Amino acid sequence: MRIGLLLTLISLGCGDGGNVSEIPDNAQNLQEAVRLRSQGSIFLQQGRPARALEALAQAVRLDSSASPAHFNKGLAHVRLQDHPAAIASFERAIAIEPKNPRFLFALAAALRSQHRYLEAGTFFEQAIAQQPDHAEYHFNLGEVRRATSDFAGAREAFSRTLELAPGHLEARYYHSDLLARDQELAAARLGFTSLLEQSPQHFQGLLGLGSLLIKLGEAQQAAAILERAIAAKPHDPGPHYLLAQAYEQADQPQEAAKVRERFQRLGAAERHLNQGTIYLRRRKWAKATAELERALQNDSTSVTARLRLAQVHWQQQRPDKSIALLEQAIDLEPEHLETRLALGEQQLRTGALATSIAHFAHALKLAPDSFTAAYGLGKARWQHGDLTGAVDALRQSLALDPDYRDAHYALGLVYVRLERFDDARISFTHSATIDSTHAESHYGLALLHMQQGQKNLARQGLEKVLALQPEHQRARAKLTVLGSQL
Amino acid sequence: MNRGLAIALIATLCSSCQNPEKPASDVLYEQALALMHQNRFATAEPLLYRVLELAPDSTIASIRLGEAQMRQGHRQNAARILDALPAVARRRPEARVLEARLLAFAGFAQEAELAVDQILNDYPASLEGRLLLAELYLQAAATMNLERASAMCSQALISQPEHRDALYLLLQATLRLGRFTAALERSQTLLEAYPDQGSAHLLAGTAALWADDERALPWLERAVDLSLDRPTQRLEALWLLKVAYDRRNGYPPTLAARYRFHTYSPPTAPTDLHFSDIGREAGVGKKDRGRGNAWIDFDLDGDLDLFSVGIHIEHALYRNDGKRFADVTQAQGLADPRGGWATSAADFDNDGDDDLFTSRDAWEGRAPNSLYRNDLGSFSDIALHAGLADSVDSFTATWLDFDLDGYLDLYVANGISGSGLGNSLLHNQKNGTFLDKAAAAGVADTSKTIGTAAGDFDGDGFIDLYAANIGELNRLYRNVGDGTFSDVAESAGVLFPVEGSYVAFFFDLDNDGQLDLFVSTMSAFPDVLNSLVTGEAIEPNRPFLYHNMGDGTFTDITAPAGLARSFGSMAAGSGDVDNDGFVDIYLANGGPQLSRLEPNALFRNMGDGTFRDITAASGTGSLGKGHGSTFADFDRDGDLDLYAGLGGHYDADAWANILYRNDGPAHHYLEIELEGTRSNRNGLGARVAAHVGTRTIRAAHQSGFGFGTSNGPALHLGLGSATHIDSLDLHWPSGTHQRFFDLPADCSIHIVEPSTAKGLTGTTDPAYKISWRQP
Repeated sequence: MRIGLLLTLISLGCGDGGNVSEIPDNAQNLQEAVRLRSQGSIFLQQGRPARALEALAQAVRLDSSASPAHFNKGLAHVRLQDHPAAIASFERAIAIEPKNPRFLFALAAALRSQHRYLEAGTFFEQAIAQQPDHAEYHFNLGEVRRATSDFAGAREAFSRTLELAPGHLEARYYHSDLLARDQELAAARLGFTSLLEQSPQHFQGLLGLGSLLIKLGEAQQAAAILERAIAAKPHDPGPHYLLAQAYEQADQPQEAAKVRERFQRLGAAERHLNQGTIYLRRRKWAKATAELERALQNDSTSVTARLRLAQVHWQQQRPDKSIALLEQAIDLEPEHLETRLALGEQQLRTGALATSIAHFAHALKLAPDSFTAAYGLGKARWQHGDLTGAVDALRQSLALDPDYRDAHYALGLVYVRLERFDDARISFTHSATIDSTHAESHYGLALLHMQQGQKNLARQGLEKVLALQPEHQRARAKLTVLGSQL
Repeated sequence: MNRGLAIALIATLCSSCQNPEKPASDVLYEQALALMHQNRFATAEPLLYRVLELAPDSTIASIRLGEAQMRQGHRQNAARILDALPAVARRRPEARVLEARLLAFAGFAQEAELAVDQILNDYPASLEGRLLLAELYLQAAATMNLERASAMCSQALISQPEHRDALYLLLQATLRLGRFTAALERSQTLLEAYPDQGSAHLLAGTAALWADDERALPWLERAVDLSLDRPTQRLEALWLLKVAYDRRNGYPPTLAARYRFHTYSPPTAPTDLHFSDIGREAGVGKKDRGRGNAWIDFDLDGDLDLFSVGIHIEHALYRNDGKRFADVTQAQGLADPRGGWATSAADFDNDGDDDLFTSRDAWEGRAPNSLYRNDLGSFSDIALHAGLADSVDSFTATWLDFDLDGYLDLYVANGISGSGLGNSLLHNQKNGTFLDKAAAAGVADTSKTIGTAAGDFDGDGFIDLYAANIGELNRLYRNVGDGTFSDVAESAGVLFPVEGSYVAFFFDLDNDGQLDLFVSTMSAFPDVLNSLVTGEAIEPNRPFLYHNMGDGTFTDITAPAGLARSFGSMAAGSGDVDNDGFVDIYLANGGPQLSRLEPNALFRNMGDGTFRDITAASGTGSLGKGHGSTFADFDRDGDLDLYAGLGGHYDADAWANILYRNDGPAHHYLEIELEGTRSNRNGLGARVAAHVGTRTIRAAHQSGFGFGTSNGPALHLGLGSATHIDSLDLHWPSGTHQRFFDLPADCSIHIVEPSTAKGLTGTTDPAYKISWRQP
C-alpha cells in the first residue's frame, strides 16, 4: 500500500495539476454551511443540543458571516449549560446584527446566568430599545436591576411589564414587594391582593401579603393568609415564623407558641436534611443516616428526607429498607415524581417488574416529558415480557432524548426479540454512531449480519468488538465458529 | 503540484516509516496530562477514561485518573482507584505521591510530609514529590515552612524552568513570605510562560495588589477576561479588582461593566454611628498577625488598659495614659515571644486584680498555654505551677464559676489541629492551681472544638457551656449543678453549623431575660463572594442566631433577623455600640489565603429581632483578616469603642490592629463594675436588669467569648434616651439579689456584693458599697 501511495504522489508531482482539486470552493462552503445550519436547527428543535452544536460549529467554520448560525450555536451551548461559550456565540451574532432584539436578549440572559448582572442589564436595555413592547424583556431587566439593588429602576421595569402584560404574576409579585420595601403599604397591599386573585396559591405572594398585614397591625387577616401559605407548602418554615408573629400581635400567645414550636422543628428538619444530603454526597453513610433520621424526627411527614434516606439504604445494599421508605413517601405524596422514579428503578432492579411498570407509568403521567420515566418504563416492560409496550416506551424516551445510546441499544435488543431485524439493525447502528466504542452495539450488528448470512460483515464486526474489548468471550466464541465456517 | 513538492511529500512519508503512529491511547494520555498540568482536571478525566477503555492495563492512566479525582475533591474515588492497583503499581512514585496527597487531604499533613520525604529518598528526581512537598510547606498548618517550599520549587525549576506548578507555588511562597519585589518578578516570569492562563493572572494580580503595584489593575482585568469559563475564579478576580480600585477612590466612570463587582445591597439602617481608626495615633496599632485581646485595668488606676497577642510574636500590654497608650509589655513582664492565640482576663485568684490567660498553638499543633498572674501590675507566667503547662493545641477559652464556689474556672477548647485531645475544664483549686475535671464533668469533647462560650441559658443559676466544633455537631452542655454537665444541644436545637463553626457567644438580643446564642461560620471564599453578589447565604454555611425560647429550646432566627449570609467569620464580638439598649454584633472576617480580603461587618440590633448591616456607614469594614474583636469605653466618653485584632497566617499578612474610637450618638448609658465577695471577684455570671420607664435593659457578665477574648471588665448598658434608671436588679452568682432605685445615667457605678446577707437589699443597706464615677 505504501508503494502505491508513493507512486500516486510521484504521478501527482509529475502531473500538470489538471485533476479536480479536493478543496471545496467558496460556493460549496456556503451551500454546505446552509445545510449544516438547517441541520443544527432541526437538532435543536429535536432537543439534541450536542448534535446541534456539532453541526453549527462546522457551519460557522465554513461561513462565519451568518448570524443565525452563531445565535443557534449559542442556544445549543445554553442547553448544554455552557454559558460562557453561549455568551461568546451570542456576541458574535450581535457583532453581525447589532440590533437584533432576540440576540440581545439571549446574550443578556446568558450573562445574567453567570451573575454578570451589570452587563446583562445593558443588553436587556438594548433589546428593549429595539422592541419596547416585549413584556419579558422588561421583566428580565427588572430582575437584574433588583439584583443590583437598583430598586427604583426595578420598580419601573416591573411596572412597565405589568402595563404590557397585566397577568404577569412574577412581575406583580416583585412590584408589590418593592412597593412594600418603599413603605407604600396601601399600594403594595393592592398589588399582593391582585396577585392572589389571579393565583391564590402563589407562595411568595402569600408571604408578602402576610408580612405586610402584620406591619399594618391586621393580625387576624395576616394569620388567615399565612395559614394558606402553610397549606401551600407545609414543610417550609418561613410562614410559620410570620404566623407566630401574627398570633402574638393578635394576643393569642398559646397559638403563637404552638406555631413557633412548629417553626423550630421545621427549621431543625431543614438543617438536618441539608447536612444529611452533604454527607450523602460525600458517601459518609453513617453520618448521613443519623442526620436524615433526625430530619424525620423533626418533620415526620418529610418526603425529601425519606427519599434521601432511601438513597443511603440503597447505596448500602439494603433495598428492603430503601423501598419501604419510598413507599412511605408515596403514601404521603402520591404525585412526587422523584419518588415514583426512584421506586420504579429500585423495583426494576429487585425484580418486582409489575410494580416497577406501575410506578414508571404513573411518573410518565405526572411528567410526560420525563426521559427517565419513559426509559425506565421501556426497560421494565421489556424485562416483564411486554415487548410491544417496551418498544412504545423506548421510542417515547428517544423522542425526548434522541442521542441516548443505551435507549437505542435497548430498543435494538427488543426488536431482535420481536424478530424485527431491520429495525434492530437501525437501532444498533444509531447506538454505534452515538458511541463508536460501544462494543455491545457492534456485537449486536455482527449477530444480525450472521443471522442474515453476511459472514464477512459478521466477522469484521466481531473483530471490531474484540479490538474494543479483547476479553469479550461471546464475540470470541462467535468468531471461532465463523472461522470454521469460512 | 510540482516535482519539488512531490519529493517533499515522499520525504515526509519516508520519515513517518521510522516513527510509526502512536497508539491512540498514548495520544489521549498525553493530552490528558497536558490538561492536568493546566489544572483542568475535570476536562482531563474523560480522556483518561477513554485511555483506560483502549488500554485497560495502563496503571499510569489509573493513577492519573485517581489524581484527577483527588484534585476535584473526590477523595473516596481516588482512594478506591489506588486500592484497586496491583501491588507493583502502587510502588510507582506517581502512586506513592497520590497516596501522600490523600493523606494530606485527609488532614494528616505531617504524615504526608514524612511519606513524601521517603519518596524523595527513593526517587530523588521525582518532580511531583518535590512539588507536593512544596504544597505541604505552603499550608497554614503544622507543616508550614515557606522557605523550604521556596527551595523545593526552585530545585524543580532547574530541570523544568517553565513548569507551571513550580512557578505558581514559588510565587505563592514568595508572596506569603512578604517579599513583594521578588514576587513581582516571579509574577512576570509566570505570565511570560503562561500568558493565557487566568489563574496565573489572578495570582500575579494578587501579588501586585499586595505590593501596591499599578500592574494589579491590568493583570486582574486580564484574569477576569481569561476566566469567563470559570465563574469562581472570575468572581475572585473581580473582587480583587474592586479592592484595587477602592484604593484608588473607586471605579473610574469609564470602566467597562464587565470589570465591576456588583454587590447586593441588603437593607441597611439609618445611623449616625461612626468610628475612627486611631490605632496608630493611640499607640496600639500593633502590626502583627493579631489574634486575641483583652481589656484589663492591670494597674488599678481606674482606666482600661489593653493586652493584645499575635501568633509567634511578642505580646503587647498597653497602659492607658489618657489620650494615648504606652507600651509597657517589657516592664510588666509580658514580653513573651511565643505570642498566643486567644487571650482573656479574669481575677482567678480573687486578689483584686485581673490576670491573663493565653492559649497556644491552635492549628499549628501543641504548645503550653500561659496563665499570667498579676501581682500589683507585674505579671508572671505561672502555668507550670498552676498545672496548665501541658502541651495542647488550644484555641479559645472561657471563664466561669461552674460550681459556684466563688473562684473562677476555665473551659479550654483543645484538639483543633486534629490531635484528638479533649477540651479541658480547669477547676480552680483556690490555691493557684487548677485540676482538669472535664472528663468527670462530661465536657471533655474530643471533637475539633474551636469556639467556647459560657452563660446560664436556662436561668437555673448554674453557668452552662457551648462548644462550637469544626466538622462535627456542636454541644450545649447544661450545668446540672452537681459538678457535671449534660449535652442538650440536640433537644435545644443548637447543633449547627457543622461545616464551618467558628466562635460563639451568649447575649440577650431582645432583653427578655433569656440568653440567646450566636455562632459564627467560616464559609469558603467563593461562597462569601457569591453571597456578596446575591445577598443570600450558601446553605448551610452561614452563621446561626439562636433565640432562646425560655423552655430549654432555641429557635434559629438567622434568616428573619437578616443575618443569613455567608461570611468567613474567624471571630465575632458583641456590644451596644449605639447605646440604644440593644446589643449589636461585629463579625471579624477573612481567611489565610492572601487573596481573601474580606471586610469585617457591623450589624446594628434594631430591637425588633432584626439586624441591619451598618458597616459602610460606620466605617468599620477593615479588610485585614479580623480576629479578636472587643468592646470597651477606653476613653470614658460613654460609648463603646472597638479594638479589632487583625492579621493573617503568613508573614506577609501582617496588619496593624485597629482601635476604632466610637464617635457615635449621644445616647445615655450606665457602666457597672462588680466586685464579688462570696461570688467570684469579677462577678462573672452576674445578671443585671435596668428598668427605665416601660423598658428593661439586661446584661450578663462574661469573659472569654467570641475569639476567647474579653470586653471591658464593667457591664455597659445602653439606655437610649433615658436619663435615669428607675430601678436596677442585680443577681450575683452566689444567689444574692440586690435592687437599687433612682440611679443616674451617664456614669459608672461600682457595686460590692454584700458579704453576709442573702436576698434583696436596697440602696439604704450599709452592707453593700456603691460608688459613682462621672466621666
